[in-house]
Amino acid sequence: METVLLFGILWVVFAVLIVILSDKRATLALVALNLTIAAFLLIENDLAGALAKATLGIASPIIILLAIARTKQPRPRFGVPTLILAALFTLALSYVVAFSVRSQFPEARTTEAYLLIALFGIAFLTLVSQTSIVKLLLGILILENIATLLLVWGENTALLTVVTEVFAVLITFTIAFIAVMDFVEYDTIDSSKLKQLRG
Amino acid sequence: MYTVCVLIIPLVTAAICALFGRNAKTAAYVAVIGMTLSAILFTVRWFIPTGATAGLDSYAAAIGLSTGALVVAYVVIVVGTFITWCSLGYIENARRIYYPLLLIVISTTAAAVISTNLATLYIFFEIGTLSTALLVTYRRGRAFEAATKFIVLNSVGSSFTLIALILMFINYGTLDISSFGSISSNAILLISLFLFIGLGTKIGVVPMHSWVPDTYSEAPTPVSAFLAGTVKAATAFVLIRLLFALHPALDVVLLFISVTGVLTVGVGALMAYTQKDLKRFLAYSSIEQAGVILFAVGIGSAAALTGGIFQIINNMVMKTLVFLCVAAVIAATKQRNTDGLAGLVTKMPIVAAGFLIGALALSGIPPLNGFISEYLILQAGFQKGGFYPALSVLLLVLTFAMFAAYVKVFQRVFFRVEQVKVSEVSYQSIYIIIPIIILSVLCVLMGVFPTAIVDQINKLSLTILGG
Repeated sequence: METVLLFGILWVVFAVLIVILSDKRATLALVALNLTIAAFLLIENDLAGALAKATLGIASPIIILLAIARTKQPRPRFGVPTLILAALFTLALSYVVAFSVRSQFPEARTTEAYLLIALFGIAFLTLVSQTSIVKLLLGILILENIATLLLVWGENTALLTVVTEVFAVLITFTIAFIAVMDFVEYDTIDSSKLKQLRG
Repeated sequence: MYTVCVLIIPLVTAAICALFGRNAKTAAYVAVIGMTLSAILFTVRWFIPTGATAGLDSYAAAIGLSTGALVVAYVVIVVGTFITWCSLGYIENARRIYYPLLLIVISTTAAAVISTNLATLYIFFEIGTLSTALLVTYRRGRAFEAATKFIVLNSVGSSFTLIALILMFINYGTLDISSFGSISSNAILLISLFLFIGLGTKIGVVPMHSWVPDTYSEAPTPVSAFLAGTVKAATAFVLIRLLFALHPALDVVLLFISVTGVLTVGVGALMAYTQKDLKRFLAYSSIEQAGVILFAVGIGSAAALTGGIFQIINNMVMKTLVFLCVAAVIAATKQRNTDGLAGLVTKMPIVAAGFLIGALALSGIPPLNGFISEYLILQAGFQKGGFYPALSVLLLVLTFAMFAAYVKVFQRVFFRVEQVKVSEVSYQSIYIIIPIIILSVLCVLMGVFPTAIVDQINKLSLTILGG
């Protein structure tokens, strides 16, 4: 349980950093999140899953970094203090939700379930609080990571881990591709500005 | 094996189009030939007896599938073929990537419908979503915004679906849907909600529908037709199969789905009434249709599922028909705003008749196919008792609102000769007109002679419910 708690705290911290930091640094937080999940899979004796996560999990951040290099990072909609407050509020709310539905969790996985619901909350905060297409993508990738972590609850799940990771990479590629094409045409990837420019 | 061939033909054709498609016309003809071959093979294999036990049942049993699932897959392939024809008539000099992506979307949709494995189901869905996103960007400019909205919301939906599928796998210990046993009601509640939110986003259920009008209005019209008519309906069919694979289905979840369905019908019908852009109008009308299907899912009885699955098949035919009519109008007049269109009935009588048949069928007017499926659904709603009769009445009222919206659009686009100048018609493609005629005839035939198909669907409903 201590291991799960330690890893879980790291996941939540990295997810919160994805909300708060600029696009480029948030991508590095995603790398850290993916690597800690790969390490956790290894501890859970899922060697194939851990390898898939470590190799394919790096691909998405690389694609995002390449997209960032070809675009300009938009000005964030909210300041860091607001985002920190929103993150703390989201975490508190997540734990209230997790506590109220604790009977739904498998007994052996209670700690993980609490941490996964917190990650869920942070993923939604990322999706709703940002105008950057890259940040929206990072929010989706946090959701994909929750799916990967759930896989540990079953047996013989390496194939599913690979499938999940491959599609996470493909989704990243597609969204990054559209973002770069958008930038070529409108010189921004800020969704609110894009809306104004397109009329 | 033949089913695999039928699904593989579109993918091989897609590869040929991608490799040798520098000439846009050649690629278009290759795609049309490939899809037509698929549809013909499927039809021949279906109707011509082979071996000791002949016909539909033996074909399905030979590949371990229910006949109903094949019925849906068959309609996907046939409608997909018409969409390819329509693309040939609608898009001049299509970019090299258009036909390969279109064929991948058609193929993966058909494959998802007959897939009985959770992992392959997810793979087909995701490939379809990614290919669709790239197809939506086809016209660039504002289409990028629509594509971004589409892929972001659908990826969130995919994540929910993925989590639901993983929870199913963990709880049942198998990826094979047909091997599911019973699990705790706690797990069922959680899986059902994730499944509903995930697939509901792809179907365009209120409040996860915001991507639908933008995507359908910015994508090339044949693509919008396939998304609205077929992909959405096929996803609803997959939702039915997965939801009722969970034993026992929870009444509270079913009621929630029904209420959401009626809400979706209401939002779709009322928003459709206010639209002047033909494609946005059809986008909202497709939201309304999704609501009708969900209402049937929420009733949960065998009769309701029969009506719901028939509505899914009908939606593929009816919605594609009206979208192709709109494609014909746009191709002929270069206009999609109803204010700029008038009096087309004299210049495009076949299209006007097709639109009228499609609109009446979608509004559930007898003797067309939409009437039969909506009648079955409403009857099941009244029989169920509880809140359902009241919801059925509400659904009926809202369906009339949608009928009023169709009448308004039909009057503006095809009549209204006194008030404004009749629109100029520059071009009418035979590749759009032929599918319109065939789909119109299908709407009538499936309404007048529904028994054969309803019997097949009824068997499937009982199988899905474990009867």
